Amino acid sequence: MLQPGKVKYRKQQKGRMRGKASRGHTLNFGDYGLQAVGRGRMTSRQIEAARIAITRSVKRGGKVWIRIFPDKPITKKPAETRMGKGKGAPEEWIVVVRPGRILYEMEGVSKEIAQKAFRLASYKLPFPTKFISREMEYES
Amino acid sequence: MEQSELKVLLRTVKGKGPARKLRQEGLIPAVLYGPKADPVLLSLRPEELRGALSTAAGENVLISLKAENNREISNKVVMLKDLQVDPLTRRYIHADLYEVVMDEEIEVDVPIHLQGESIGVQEDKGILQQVHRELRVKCLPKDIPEGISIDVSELRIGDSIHVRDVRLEEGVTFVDDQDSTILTVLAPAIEEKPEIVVEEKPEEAEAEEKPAAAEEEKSAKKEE
Repeated sequence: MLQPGKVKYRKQQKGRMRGKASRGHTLNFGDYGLQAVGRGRMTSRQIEAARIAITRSVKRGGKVWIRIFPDKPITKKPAETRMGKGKGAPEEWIVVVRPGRILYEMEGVSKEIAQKAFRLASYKLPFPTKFISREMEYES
Repeated sequence: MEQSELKVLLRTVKGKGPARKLRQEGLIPAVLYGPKADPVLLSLRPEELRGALSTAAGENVLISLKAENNREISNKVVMLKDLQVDPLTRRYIHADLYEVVMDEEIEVDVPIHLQGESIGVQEDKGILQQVHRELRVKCLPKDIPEGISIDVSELRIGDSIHVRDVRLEEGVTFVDDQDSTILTVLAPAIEEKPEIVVEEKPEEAEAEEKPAAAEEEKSAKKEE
């Protein structure tokens, strides 16, 4: 699973996820992409689950790029603990996804195969997504 | 080189609020600047800009401005320097127009057009990976090529094309590093075997983890 190798601070504040994606919203590597339409937190497990769904669906051929990286630690207090006594221990790594963000890109496969792979990957994600291609970008 | 026309209006108001109002009226804010002119605030219809850009040269087209309420701006030749687009709807948000001096060289990104299908992809089921889809070139505005065509039909697995392999017309030079790779044919990816992942942890492991977590908290408190 993806996670930073070394961080300066172990815990972060919650933050907000207002607005749309200001970077990472155009196809840069492949011909097809999976773009977030909604917003939410994507955990490293979800990133890995979706990646596995894509690679298994594509089988042979094709190259996949992951355009997001979970660099935000989320803490959690242990079960049956009273409130207070400080912030909990780091539990997982997430990435804040805003609408417009490209999550995965793919190249070297037909449009139909890419669409199917991304549809299967989207079932693993906690927000709605849409399929985009380079042709669609130029047309619009 | 092809030249298209674009109707623009002079704009006096600026800022977030007036820009939003303009977009509600079906216009988008734009700005015109250049090496020898002060910036001028403009507004234009996005569909007209889309029309002006829908040429074979794409965004590298020379645009002749037509301003109804200003003679100074009319007939100025500009290029699209930057275009802000909504990431979801792909609607235009703002355009930067750059006044070009016809006898001065400029740097532009020219799209790469691939010709044919490589042997490595057709016969050996390789993957054609295109590292660069545009190349930055330096030339006079009138000499901007519409595209750079590269024949990939002879490429086998492991072959690649670099910037130094591409020939350009006279008066056009590459800005990019000569050694940088444009495209390469990769060997096919091997099918991933499904992994068996055990989700549930044995009870012993959980019991071991609890004291470890407690120790970690203690050490964190000490650090504080």
